[in-house]
Amino acid sequence: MTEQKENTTGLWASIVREMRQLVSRPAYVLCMVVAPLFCCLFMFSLMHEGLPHKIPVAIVDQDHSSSSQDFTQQLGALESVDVRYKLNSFTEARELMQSGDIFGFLMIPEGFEAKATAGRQPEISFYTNNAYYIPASLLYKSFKTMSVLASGAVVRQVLLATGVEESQIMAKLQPIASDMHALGNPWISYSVYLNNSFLPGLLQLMILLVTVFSIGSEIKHATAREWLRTADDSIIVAITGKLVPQTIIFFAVGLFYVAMLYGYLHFPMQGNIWHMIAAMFLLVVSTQSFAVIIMSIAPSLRIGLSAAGLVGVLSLSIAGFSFPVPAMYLPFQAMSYVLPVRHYFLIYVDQALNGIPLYYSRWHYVALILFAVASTPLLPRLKKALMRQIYVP
Amino acid sequence: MKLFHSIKIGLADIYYIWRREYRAVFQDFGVILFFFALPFVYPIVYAAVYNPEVVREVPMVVVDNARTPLSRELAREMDATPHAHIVSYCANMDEAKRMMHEKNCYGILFIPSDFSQKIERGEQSVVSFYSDMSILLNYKGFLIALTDVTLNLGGQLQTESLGGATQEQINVAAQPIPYVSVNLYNPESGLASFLLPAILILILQQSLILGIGMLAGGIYEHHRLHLFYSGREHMHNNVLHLVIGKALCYFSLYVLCTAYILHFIPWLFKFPQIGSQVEIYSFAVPFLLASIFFGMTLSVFVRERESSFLLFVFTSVIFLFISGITWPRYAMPEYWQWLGAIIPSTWGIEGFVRMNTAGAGIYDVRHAYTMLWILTGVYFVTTCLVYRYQIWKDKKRGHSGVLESE
Repeated sequence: MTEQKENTTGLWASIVREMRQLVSRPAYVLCMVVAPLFCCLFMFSLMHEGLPHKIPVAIVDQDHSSSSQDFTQQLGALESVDVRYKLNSFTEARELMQSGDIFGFLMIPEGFEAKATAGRQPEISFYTNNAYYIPASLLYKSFKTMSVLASGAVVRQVLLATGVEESQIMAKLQPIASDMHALGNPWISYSVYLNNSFLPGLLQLMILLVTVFSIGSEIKHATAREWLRTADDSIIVAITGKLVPQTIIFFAVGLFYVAMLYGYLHFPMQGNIWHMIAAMFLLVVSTQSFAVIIMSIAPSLRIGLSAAGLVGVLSLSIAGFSFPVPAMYLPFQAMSYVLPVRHYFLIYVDQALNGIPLYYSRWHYVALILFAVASTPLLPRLKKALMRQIYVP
Repeated sequence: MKLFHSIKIGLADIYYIWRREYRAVFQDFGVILFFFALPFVYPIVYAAVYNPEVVREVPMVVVDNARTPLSRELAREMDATPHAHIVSYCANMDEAKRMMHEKNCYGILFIPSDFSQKIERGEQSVVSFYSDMSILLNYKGFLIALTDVTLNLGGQLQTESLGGATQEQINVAAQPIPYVSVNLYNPESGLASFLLPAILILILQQSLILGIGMLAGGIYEHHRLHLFYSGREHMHNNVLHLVIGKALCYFSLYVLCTAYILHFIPWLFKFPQIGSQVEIYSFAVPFLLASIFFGMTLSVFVRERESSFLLFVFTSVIFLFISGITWPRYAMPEYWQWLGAIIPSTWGIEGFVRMNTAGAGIYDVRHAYTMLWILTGVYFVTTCLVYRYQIWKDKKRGHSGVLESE
């Protein structure tokens, strides 16, 4: 009798019970394994080039001289630019821009060559479609480089003609040069930049949804009491039994991310890989705890999922992956620090991208550990709700 | 006469379903949240997050080993740009790095000790900048500031070296071919003005998918599908009536949401809004219809009200990236272009951004507009097929009862 009881209740029994539930519903498999892996492959293959190359542009050449044609050719030789159209008027170029065929264009005015040789400063103008951020900033850079080079070429001719030596030309052209070091990401790769933050962000979203769903379903299907009975009426055992199998699966997915990012794709990993593996584990556990907090405060499947979805989706913006947190309004700055993935992101910046001593990331590890235990004081409240098991549609 | 009669019955039936669906929507608090609260709140939250638009005065430090008037001027001019703000002058690189590790600054300007000497000797002088790469916007600001400052200061030095030349001669010597750069449609290069139009379209589509999915999940869960067909066998094509009736309900409910999201929000937050509103509304029609039928088709996968969340929330991120607003569509692998092409939001975003932000007319976005009508047609057919399939499956289970008896 007692032996049989030990087999049907307790921590192991709760774990087994949860594993049965996880495999019985395709939605779980989809959200815990298929979706995170799909997102990972999607993002990597989408941006495998690192930067979009060959951005389609147009040239409005109103000069039709050999200089303007040289200029066009040089522009076309850049890897970032694809000169798709050679046009005669601004209007044509604007229309192509509005219909989305090009992301920018450059205008060479009439009399360009004549003015340049006579020293009457012909003006080059370029237009970028800043409704599309990434192509626009890359184009801006290419257009600007070309324009500066065009000036340089003319000055060079003049200087050579006046007898300045070749070796002194650079100093005359550009007395002060700047040498920009993009620390950790010298290729300025968007793939490195976006995937290191968005993938953990997506994982956080899936963990929040699945954890809330798995707890809320017990209430909805009125199996919460049975769940507690399996755990000998201990909410600690019940929650542990439910979450441990999920922790293992999500952590395995997280390890896959880490292996893909720093192993297979060789993204910058200047520090110790174990620091990132630890951070990934803490991200999984702290996010699960976050979801338990949500369910303890609002023990309803629908409200819980709404909150989890809201937090998960907004995290991608508020955690400051693309728009820096210090530039946000104060309430959002404060909010960003109650998101586990924000701390994970800052650990990534310190440990993987910049490879600085662990000491500087200490508070973010502490924050993640605090998240992980923060749900414990709320568990009695969750237990009460589980005993009532009232489902609100 | 017989044809006339059956059309009349058909219309009456569609109208009946339409009315029933209103009741279903308004009796379901979860769906009300999706259809009204979500489209109302999310745009405001997103707009507020990105509302500062640009990043200004990013903290940086200077390591000035030259300590000459010229090196100090260089640092001062860097500080004077809107992009950077010097928080400290450090004695050496170690100190500067420590500042960076403690997140007190995101960039280090290093001026070597022979900075001014080199210039005096007529050699090119190089300054180095080390930028943190955790946020690309910071890097971009630093890069623009550094390039402008070094070019301007260099230009002044050239001018001085010419001594006695007229201003015109100086201009010609320093920059024989000047250039102007124009940021079209988003003059500040603001992040909100760029990202929000896409997010707005996505909110419309995703709230529809989530809400329709939840309704369908409820019907599946409570075995209520039979209520929509049993006792109504005299109606031919009642799948058609069912699909059209429901779609009319969602469409009519979303007229208000669309006006709020695509018209009011950009106005409220002063995003670029230069398109013709009438044309944007006419563009929104196929977008809404395609999204509705897309949602109705996808709803076949929802077996439980709440699985709607699990199945569809994460797709928002995928749909945003696949739309090409961040990573341009032409630069994607072909298979993702194809996948993107069958998602209504891809064309919705493309058309809306061009019309609203870039002021294109509906004729300029005819490709997106046509694609949306094609998707409307395709998803209408798939919706009818999945409804037919579901009814067929449901009939095999042998439920019975009529809708009115509910």
